[in-house]
Amino acid sequence: MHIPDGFLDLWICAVMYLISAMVIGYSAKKLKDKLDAPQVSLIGIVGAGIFAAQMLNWPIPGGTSAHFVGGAIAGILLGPYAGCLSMVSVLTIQCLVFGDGGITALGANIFNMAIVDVFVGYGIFKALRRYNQDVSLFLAGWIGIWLGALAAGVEIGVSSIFAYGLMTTVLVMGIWHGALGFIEGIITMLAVRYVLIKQPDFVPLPKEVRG
Amino acid sequence: MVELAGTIKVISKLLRDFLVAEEYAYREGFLQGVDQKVKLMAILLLIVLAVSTQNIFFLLLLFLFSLTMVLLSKVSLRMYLPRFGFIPIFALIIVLPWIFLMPGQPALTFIGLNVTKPGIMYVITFTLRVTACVSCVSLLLFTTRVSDLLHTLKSLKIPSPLVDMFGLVYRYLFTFLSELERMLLGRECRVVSDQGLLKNWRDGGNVVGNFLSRTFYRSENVYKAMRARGYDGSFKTYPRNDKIGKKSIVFMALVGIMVGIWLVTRL
Amino acid sequence: MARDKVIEAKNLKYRYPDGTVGIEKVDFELWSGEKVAIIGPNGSGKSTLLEILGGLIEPTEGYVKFFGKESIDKYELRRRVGIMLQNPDDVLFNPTVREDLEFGPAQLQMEKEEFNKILEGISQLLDLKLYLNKPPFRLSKGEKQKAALGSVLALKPEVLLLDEPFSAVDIGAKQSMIKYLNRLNEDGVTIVVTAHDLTTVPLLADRVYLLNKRLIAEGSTRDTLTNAELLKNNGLEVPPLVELGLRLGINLVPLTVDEAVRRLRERFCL
Repeated sequence: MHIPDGFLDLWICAVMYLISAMVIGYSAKKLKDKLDAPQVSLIGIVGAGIFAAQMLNWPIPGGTSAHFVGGAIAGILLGPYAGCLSMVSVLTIQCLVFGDGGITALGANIFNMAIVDVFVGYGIFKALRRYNQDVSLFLAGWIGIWLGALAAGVEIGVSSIFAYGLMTTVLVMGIWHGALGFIEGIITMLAVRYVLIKQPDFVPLPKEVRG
Repeated sequence: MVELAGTIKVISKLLRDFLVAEEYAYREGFLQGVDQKVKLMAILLLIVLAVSTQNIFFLLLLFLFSLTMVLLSKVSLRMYLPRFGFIPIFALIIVLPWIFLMPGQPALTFIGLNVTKPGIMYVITFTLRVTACVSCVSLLLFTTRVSDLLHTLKSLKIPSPLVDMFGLVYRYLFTFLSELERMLLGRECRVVSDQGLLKNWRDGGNVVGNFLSRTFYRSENVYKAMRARGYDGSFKTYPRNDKIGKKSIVFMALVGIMVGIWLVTRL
Repeated sequence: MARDKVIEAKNLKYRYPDGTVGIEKVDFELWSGEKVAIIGPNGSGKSTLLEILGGLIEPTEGYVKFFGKESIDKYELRRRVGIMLQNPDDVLFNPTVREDLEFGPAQLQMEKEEFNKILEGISQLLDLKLYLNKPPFRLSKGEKQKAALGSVLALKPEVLLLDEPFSAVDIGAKQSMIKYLNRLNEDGVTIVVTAHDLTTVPLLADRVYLLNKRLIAEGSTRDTLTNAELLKNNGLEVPPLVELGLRLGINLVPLTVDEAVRRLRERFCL
């Protein structure tokens, strides 16, 4: 889901950079009184953990395999603002050190995976948790990544540099990641449930998540 | 359930790619000697130029320019090209249908479908653009040490706590990858029989959950280590003497020529 | 010169957030220029105690006083007391070893010239020159341990608290590290190490605290390490030389190989 350079019009890149920068700034401000030393190490190191976990191969029928993104997990375990910064760190290192995703597209990639996925995932979990925790986690992972993919579809679709129209890109991204997102949902559910049940005392879950 | 062999392959590839690039970043080549800030900004500029042009000649020139830089920087093309080759191929496959879809003068007919001239032009331009861009980004990967890169981001006024987070992601990624590998192997040793899909999936989820919990634990200890050495919210470093040397000036001049060509193609 | 009390802790208790008790009823005193070891089996609370003594965690009960002061400025504490945690992967959190060595001094605003001098010295002594520009994850465990020690030494602390500093270094490196630490001590640095393997303790400590959740014993290295029953009761292995000496009934049981050789030479006129 990392958009490379050359798929997006320059103005889209600029707009997405601007939006992402604003959300990052807002998140940092929200954490301001807490964005001190322990937060920095927590966000960076859990980010490294999510990056590492993204390398896991989950086989899907048909012989290929899927990887999960983990935005919803980050949002739920760290809270949306810290989760967002954590995913921003992962995506930036992937772009600048590993060549995953374009430099001009970094703003868009951050928007899709570090903002939409994280905030939507967290929001769904928070809203639906009281009905059924497992279902809320599953939907958080699934819909989070699905909307992230749709956002990517829109960004690519409105770019004139990419000849396919908006309808096509949104449809393709929507269907493909709607299906793949199923795996994201299951992993989000299983992994977060494990952490919530075990609740090891060294996991400083956000207050509203600890429940 | 996690597929072990595939995962290990992915991890190994990531590590190998990184080590190869890092190895070149330590050599004494042309781009390695260019000031990091100049290099980062110039590469960003070149990609912006590529994204905002339809001119095949310029895109081709930019690609050749990046390959020249590769050679001047003592990076082997055999290592360089395969690193990102799959991206242009992927791009080509995606836009290939447009040789038929693009309206315009037919160039030839293929199983009853018209391949149009504008279609061919579009597909070539698009693929070439993606190629040139990813090749330029790879210049950065192959000639810059991560520690210098992070330092550069700070000197470009990216807030220090954010860059410190980037640094931690980079620092602990490989530590965690080997931890993850050990956890998976350990589990593989204990699971004897096939235990059914449901249990397998739950197992996989537990591994991820357990692994992520450990990263939390790790962060607490690292935070202690930071405080032990006087950390109070931002990583302070000594100023480095980044002098803009001869190589930087030559590089800026070369990039300037590219900008000039780009401007001419826009006329 | 009258010796100053460097650290004084009374009636320490530490309870983890989940309620289990890490340590309790521990008194600890450290005098300037001393070499002290905290010994105890795994899980006996050595690291917890060390972290309290380093001011990294607050005791649940009891108090710690540094340099005889009622309260101490955070920066002063960090400048004067260096603490090295057990896992070098936690200590080395920077992209390169050089930056890890630089971290402490830069945080505490040491002059760059002074730091460069220190860097030169440390990388020479700990044999780190080749690794300075490497990312820590590319080092072996022993190299990491040396680099971690270096990163703490870079602050030139007066008091050095080291948590199991030799658990992974090879024998040669261990010898040279011990020699180096002893030299630092001669220059006035106070040293505290924790250990569950007692063979290095006599080489590096004059005084020993035996910890097993509570403070079990405190005394000279000789008295503590030759008390085989005490050690065994607290899950520690009696050092082979001590065991040998005790069983042979030698009346000044040797603690180190050097000592044993000397004694045997005297005895058998070798």
